[in-house]
Amino acid sequence: MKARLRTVVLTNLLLLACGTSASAHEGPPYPILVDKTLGPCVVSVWSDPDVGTGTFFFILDPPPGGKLPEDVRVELGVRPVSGRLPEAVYAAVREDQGGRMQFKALVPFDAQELWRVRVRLQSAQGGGEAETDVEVTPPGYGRWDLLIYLLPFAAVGALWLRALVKRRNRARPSTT
Amino acid sequence: MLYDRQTNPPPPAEDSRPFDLLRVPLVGNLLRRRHARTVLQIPLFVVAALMILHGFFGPQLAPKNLATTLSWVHFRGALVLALLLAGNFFCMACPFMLPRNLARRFVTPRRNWPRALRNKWLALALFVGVLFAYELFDLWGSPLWTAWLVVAYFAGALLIDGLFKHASFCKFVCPLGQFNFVASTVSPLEVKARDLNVCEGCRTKDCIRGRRERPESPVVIQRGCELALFQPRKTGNLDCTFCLDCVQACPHDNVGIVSRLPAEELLTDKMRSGVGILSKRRDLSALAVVFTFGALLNAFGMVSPVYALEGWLARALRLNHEAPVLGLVFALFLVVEPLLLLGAAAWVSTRWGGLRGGVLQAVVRYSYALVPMGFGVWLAHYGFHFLTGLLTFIPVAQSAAAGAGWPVLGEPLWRLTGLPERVVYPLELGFLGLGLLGSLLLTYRLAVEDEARRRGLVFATWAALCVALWVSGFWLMSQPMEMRGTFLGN
Repeated sequence: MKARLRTVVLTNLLLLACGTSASAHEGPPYPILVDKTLGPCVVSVWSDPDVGTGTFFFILDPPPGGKLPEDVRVELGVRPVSGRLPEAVYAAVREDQGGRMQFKALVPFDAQELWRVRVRLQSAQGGGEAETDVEVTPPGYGRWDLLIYLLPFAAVGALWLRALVKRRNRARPSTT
Repeated sequence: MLYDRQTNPPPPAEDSRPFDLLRVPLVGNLLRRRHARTVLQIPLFVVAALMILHGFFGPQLAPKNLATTLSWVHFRGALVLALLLAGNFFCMACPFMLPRNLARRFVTPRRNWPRALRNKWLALALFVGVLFAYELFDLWGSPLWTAWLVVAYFAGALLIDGLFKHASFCKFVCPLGQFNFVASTVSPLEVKARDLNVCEGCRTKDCIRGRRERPESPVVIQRGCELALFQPRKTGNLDCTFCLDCVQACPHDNVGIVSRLPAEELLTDKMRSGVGILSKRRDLSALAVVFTFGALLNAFGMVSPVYALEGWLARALRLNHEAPVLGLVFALFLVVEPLLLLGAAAWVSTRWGGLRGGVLQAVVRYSYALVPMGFGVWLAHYGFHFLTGLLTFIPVAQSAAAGAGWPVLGEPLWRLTGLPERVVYPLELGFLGLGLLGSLLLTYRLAVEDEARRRGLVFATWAALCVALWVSGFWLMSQPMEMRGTFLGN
């Protein structure tokens, strides 16, 4: 029994360990630009670049002692680093959060590859541009991933069920 | 004295003796040291102090602040995973108790906690209050308010335990503690007397009374259980903070942290020391219900449909403020929905299933069976944030150090995040599945043990409720990433 249990646990640990390799970002938004001064604004850009729709958040702060202009416009240009497609430009929509000036842009990505992202900020007080690259990754999981990752839970569930049933049978008064 | 061997059976034979963490070399030795708890509390106290400072004076963008990142990504996730894999070790290392213990060296509280409040109703209200404040003030996105919440916890613990004897704050007030108590009923470890025969021969009862200089002396040199859990009659983890005072106090070295079957204690309906009989504790039952439905509500708060619902309610009722609308959502999910679902299940069980007792009695008895399902939802939700943001504390700590003019940790590695979603999503489903399995097992065993006339119908009724909760959890966890609340979205 102990040997079987050990085998089940080790197999499942191995399966879990196999699943943790990730070559690029998949998960919640992460920053691709932090505290970059563009014209009258200090800009941070957080991105969740999934194949399908990628999400970009632009957080604008004033420079020390300064004030943010109200007429700020933010645009985002994206193109594959490979040059396969020309640049497409998208306007970010203002969505202030908790008194903080924030913009959001939804950008369609058609393939998993490295994309060049150009952030352009404009206002009456001036503007600026910054560029960076992001790895666009698939949002979902493969056909067998779900099954493989659920195996350890199935094993734990089976052990739990077995233990409860065994204890219940032991607790029953003998009928003989 | 004969102790209840049904609720706390004597240890099994040598070959099947349960695992005892306190007998593990190194870890066991460390935990059994007198100041083990303080040693665990100090690092968490330092972290809490840094969180407060960064929350007040650091950047107010949540993903760049230690207060929000550590509270809402790491602390909550690590808490539920520790409860799942071990036990209530976060209460053991609770930093709020450190200044309280220090203060008690100088101030001895004289008052007893009011009799009318010796139940979970106040703590339950505070638990709901914290969930409400979390949504109303968008705590996950506000370092300042998060820091104030931590300060409030410290102040609350200090004030309550400065005025009242024993561990009144932990047992009757702390909302986080109540969460841990309920969740730890599903934990695999329990603080427990190793051998009841030894307890039977014990004359001093130091585990509850504390160890004194001399038997007749009023001076206690090692306190006993401050939560009124008398080891020989203690069953399960409810109200146990894993403080290990009983371990220190026991003159026979007869208390261990032993393995047990998770959730089995929820089936035990005998008198428990310091807790009473579960089926007679409506406050505990309400806590279990709020724990379960609150898990769904808290997860519901992070997906877009909640904003649509709030918008619709505000328009329909012509309300301009969020608080009353959110209050309605809370009333709907934490009062109306449980009343309808549990009431209907209990009514069917008693009316057609032949379950003895009234509807309320059935609700109280079977509500505990929902705890594994609720815990599964908490695990899936907090596990998602924890695992997908696992490494985010590194760049935030680097940024905090640099912001304080002490860039010893280097340039912030902002690209460090956590596990990919494709790994975390199946884990979420796994937690939900295990929760459902646990609740189904408990309802089945309850239906069998209650010897209802039509036990199949009783089980099917409660199983349908469990499945409905699981479907809700599955739907919530299957929302696309963009629809889930992040520090930046919503």
